[in-house]
Amino acid sequence: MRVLGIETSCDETGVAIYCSNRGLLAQALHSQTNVHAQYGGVVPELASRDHIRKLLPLVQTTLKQAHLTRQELDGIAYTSGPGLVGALLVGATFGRSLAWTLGIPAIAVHHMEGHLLAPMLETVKPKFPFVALLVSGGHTQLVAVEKLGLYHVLGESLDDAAGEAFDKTAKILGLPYPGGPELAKLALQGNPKRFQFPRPMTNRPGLDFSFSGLKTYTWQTLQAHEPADAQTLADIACAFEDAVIDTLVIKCRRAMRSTGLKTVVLAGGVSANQRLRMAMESMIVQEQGELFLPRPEFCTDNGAMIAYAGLMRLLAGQQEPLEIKVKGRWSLQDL
Amino acid sequence: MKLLAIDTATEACSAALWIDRQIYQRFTEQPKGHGGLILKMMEGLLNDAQINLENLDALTFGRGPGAFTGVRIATAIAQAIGFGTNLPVIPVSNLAALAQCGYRKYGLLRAIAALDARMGEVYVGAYEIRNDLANLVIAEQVVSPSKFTLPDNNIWNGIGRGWKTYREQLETSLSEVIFTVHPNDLCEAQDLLPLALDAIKSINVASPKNALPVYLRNQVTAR
Ligand SMILES: Nc1ncnc2c1ncn2[C@@H]1O[C@H](COP(=O)(O)OP(=O)(O)OP(=O)(O)O)[C@@H](O)[C@H]1O
Ligand SMILES: [Mg+2]
Repeated sequence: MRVLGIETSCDETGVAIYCSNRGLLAQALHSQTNVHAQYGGVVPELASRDHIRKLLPLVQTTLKQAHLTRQELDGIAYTSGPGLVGALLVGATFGRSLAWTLGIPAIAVHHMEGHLLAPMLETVKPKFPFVALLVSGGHTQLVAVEKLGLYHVLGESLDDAAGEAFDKTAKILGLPYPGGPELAKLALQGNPKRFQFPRPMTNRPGLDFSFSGLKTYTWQTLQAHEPADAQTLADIACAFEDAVIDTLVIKCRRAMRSTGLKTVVLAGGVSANQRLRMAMESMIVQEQGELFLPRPEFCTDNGAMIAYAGLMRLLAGQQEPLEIKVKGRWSLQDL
Repeated sequence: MKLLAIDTATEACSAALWIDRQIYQRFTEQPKGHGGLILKMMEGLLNDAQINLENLDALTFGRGPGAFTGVRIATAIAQAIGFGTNLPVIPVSNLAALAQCGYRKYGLLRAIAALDARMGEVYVGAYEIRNDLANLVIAEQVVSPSKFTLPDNNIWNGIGRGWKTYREQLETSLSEVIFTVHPNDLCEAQDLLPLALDAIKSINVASPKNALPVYLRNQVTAR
């Protein structure tokens, strides 16, 4: 079965074709970074306008790459939430309508389920059940994954998501948009011993997170060292990154112990962060567990994870009625 | 000639079929939820007429101006069907369709079609009927209703919901030339049909890739 996956929930137009026998056949991605850079963040209406210009050409490119015609598709999967409603609508409308036209089933995919299943795109796949640490621009969640579609949110951020904290802190440090990867780059030059930032909510029980305080802490540290030289900025970036990573690792370890699960999946845009990947690896070794990480291009938004999640659900016998529906807010637990 | 028309640009959601001069239409007014309705309406229409998408010669859709999201729903559907079937896709102006509606319902030969553009503005265009078709006389624009002006002193008629929200402002600026006003009419997919049937003669490539919205309002971020 060959499934076309469409992702338009935010500022990336992603398209891919995944085959139940042969795996990923082709994928294409268009990033809107240039569209939004001058505004320092995603402008929803501009995101929607860009998606509708880019989606069809990307679908055509992907089919060509896979040496397939549209008639050789067996299903269409599209992200229907959570995310920006206008942006989601472009992919959902196109995907649902194309499935109707071709007379094949359509399946609406939860964006975070896409992220969560992204490690399945690799040759060595995790086995259910596992703990997933989802860290992206809009989410920070620890999820107990029992099987496809059965998710229990163990803890989540009470305020900013990890990626959001990276982006906002990067802005404070005067880094260009999108801040997360820029901040990570700067942190490599930092002295990890110079500043010690708090590890929010780690000294009390529970698996929830809070990252908005770190942003304030960064701002105060910066104020105390004005005018900050390049080294100070790097040192602050490093201290911030350490604090986020440490907090994520502490909570993830806690989740493993409380659930007794040894298999961990790390996914979402922030999991592209090299130091987080390394810190998670060493924690998992200590816990005698096993870590599954998608390659960086499958960490951030992409069509492949949506095609894969859609395929799994289609194989499980699900499909959408003849309706175009999107949900801006949507919990994994409601799946 | 067989044509399918869809429109979701305004509070109305509609689909229409032209089957060798016979018109079928489904229409509903509902400000939200076009996405939940439109595909079923289209399927219902095709069933009524007992034809398949493959039997069509072309598609047309309301390309705006209108509600941004609504315009994109019709556009994305048209792109998907055009791509899925290889049928030509013909974008038609929602303001032209309104003028065409005025001609069909009230015999208006000169119409100023106006839609509420929010933020104190209207989407507006002036049309003259020639050979039964609405022809654009002055460029479509998004403008404050009190600033809209006409190039001549002919007698004009108003049509569209822009005339409901901003009747006073529009009438003040155009008082001398306005004859009748029809402020309750909405775009209907059937009014795209004559315009698309005409366009199909002159458009040689109507690729779904070129099926794109026309928003008129391009300032969408805070200045
Ligand atoms: N190397 C990195 N280090 C830290 N953060 C990163 C890195 N690379 C990407 N990010 C962050 O990842 C986020 C983007 O991830 P992703 O595309 O998954 O998020 P999203 O789709 O916007 O949000 P969500 O998936 O929650 O809807 C951004 O906040 C970005 O700054
Ligand atoms: Mg994402």
